Amino acid sequence: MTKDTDYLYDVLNSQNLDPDGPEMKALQKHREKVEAILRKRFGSAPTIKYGGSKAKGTMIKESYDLDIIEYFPHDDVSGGETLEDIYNNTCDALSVEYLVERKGSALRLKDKTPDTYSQDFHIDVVPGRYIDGNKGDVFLYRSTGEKKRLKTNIDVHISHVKDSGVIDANRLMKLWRVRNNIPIKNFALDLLTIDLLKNKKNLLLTSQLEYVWTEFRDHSESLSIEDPANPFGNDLSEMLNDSIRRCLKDMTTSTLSTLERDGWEAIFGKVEKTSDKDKKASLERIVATIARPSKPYHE
Amino acid sequence: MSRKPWYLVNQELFQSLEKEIQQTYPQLSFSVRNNTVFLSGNFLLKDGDKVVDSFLIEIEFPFNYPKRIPRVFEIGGRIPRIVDRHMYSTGEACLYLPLQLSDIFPEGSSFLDFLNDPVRSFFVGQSYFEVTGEWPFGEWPHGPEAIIEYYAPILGTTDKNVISRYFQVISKKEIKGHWLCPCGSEKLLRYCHYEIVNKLHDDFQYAIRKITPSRLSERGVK
Repeated sequence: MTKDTDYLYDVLNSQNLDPDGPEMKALQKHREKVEAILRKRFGSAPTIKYGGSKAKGTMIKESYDLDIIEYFPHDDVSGGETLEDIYNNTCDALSVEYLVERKGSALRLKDKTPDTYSQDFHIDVVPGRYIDGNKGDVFLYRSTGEKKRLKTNIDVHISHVKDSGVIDANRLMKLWRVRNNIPIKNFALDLLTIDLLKNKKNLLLTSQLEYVWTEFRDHSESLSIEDPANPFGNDLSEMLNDSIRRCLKDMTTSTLSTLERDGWEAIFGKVEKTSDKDKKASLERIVATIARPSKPYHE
Repeated sequence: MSRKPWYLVNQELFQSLEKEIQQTYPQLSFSVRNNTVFLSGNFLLKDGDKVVDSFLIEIEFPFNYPKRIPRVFEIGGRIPRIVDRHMYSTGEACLYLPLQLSDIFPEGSSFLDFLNDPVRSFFVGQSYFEVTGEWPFGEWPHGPEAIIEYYAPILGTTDKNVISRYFQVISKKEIKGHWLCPCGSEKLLRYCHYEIVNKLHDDFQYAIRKITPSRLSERGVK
């Protein structure tokens, strides 16, 4: 690895959420609580599982949201007759324990205890209903906009990101977005990054980021995204409106200048770097714990 | 009637795996896509509580798991897809020499053993290589040389012709005691190296059973 690539992996490492750390434990506790609330209200009918960055492997410590999806079978009405009913009934159920903010298709959970009222738990619950018995495509209710429902498929989204082979670039782009307060949705940024890097997987991570930023700077007008789960049905153009394109262009112009002038640390900041000596010592301790070590091979 | 994938046939096993992984590797999560089970996420290398390194991986379970062993991919694009880093161009990791499978993943081993031993060996090795340019457990030479290197200490010879003769016998579907011993003694196998040849034959058959057939030729067994 080059020194710059090494640095970017240190940045990524610094953005890992320790599974035993307080943030993940808190999320896990809420996940269990949310599931218990929904099960109590709706029984075993809905499929409840992780979605979003947790399922896609793109979580970063600096901005971690947990998506919990709650999908009812296509022929089940325990959550409500209509998509709107499911959305409202889920909101009602969660409101017993949480302050619930209604977003487009999701319900954002916040604290309702007086001392910490409105504190964000970083959790979105996304209710919906499978369109058929295959448990793939779903309809989500849309509380805003003209269309009242949205067809999507979380498994397709997860595969699209996971199979992209550029998750490290996705995570760094997300961190760049958060640090620079860029008003683009993570989903849109993921789609753009994956599309631009689809034939660039063999580039170093540094080159991948530079490539994406250069494309944003030089071709912001022609960038486009489509929902991999419903390429012709869902219009994502609003996720990439003129204002967002302008912002991407301005910010990447500035980022690339900074990069050329001051290097990578000026973009992602200082990270605590483990010295090679310490890392080697740590790895040797791990090596000693492997019961049946094996040597790698290639034909 | 079409066959069902393992996670539907053996739901209890799938549920227990999900539970085990949640407890031991919570940053990995299962998904099912097109009737195939995947386990993906950050594979952390931890020294006590400290995360020393992490790799984004995806493990693909075969249709008839646990009869056959899962395949492991590095999906972050961090490890160069080159022979010298023991990676296929698809991102699949070459975790081990198939001939050695019975040593590193003996019959009765669990999926957690698979993660803790060959998978962890591989990624610790990659991280160690990045720091030092060396492999902590060494590495197998590429291609047929690995077969020679593997069998030489077991058979007590470095003579490629002799090892090749042994391999021809070991890789047969079954072995017969009345065959001439491949060591060159001109004795019948049953009066010469039958015990060791039989053991190596069993190990070879084990690898055949455990590794998806299409992978065997790619990995140098056949």
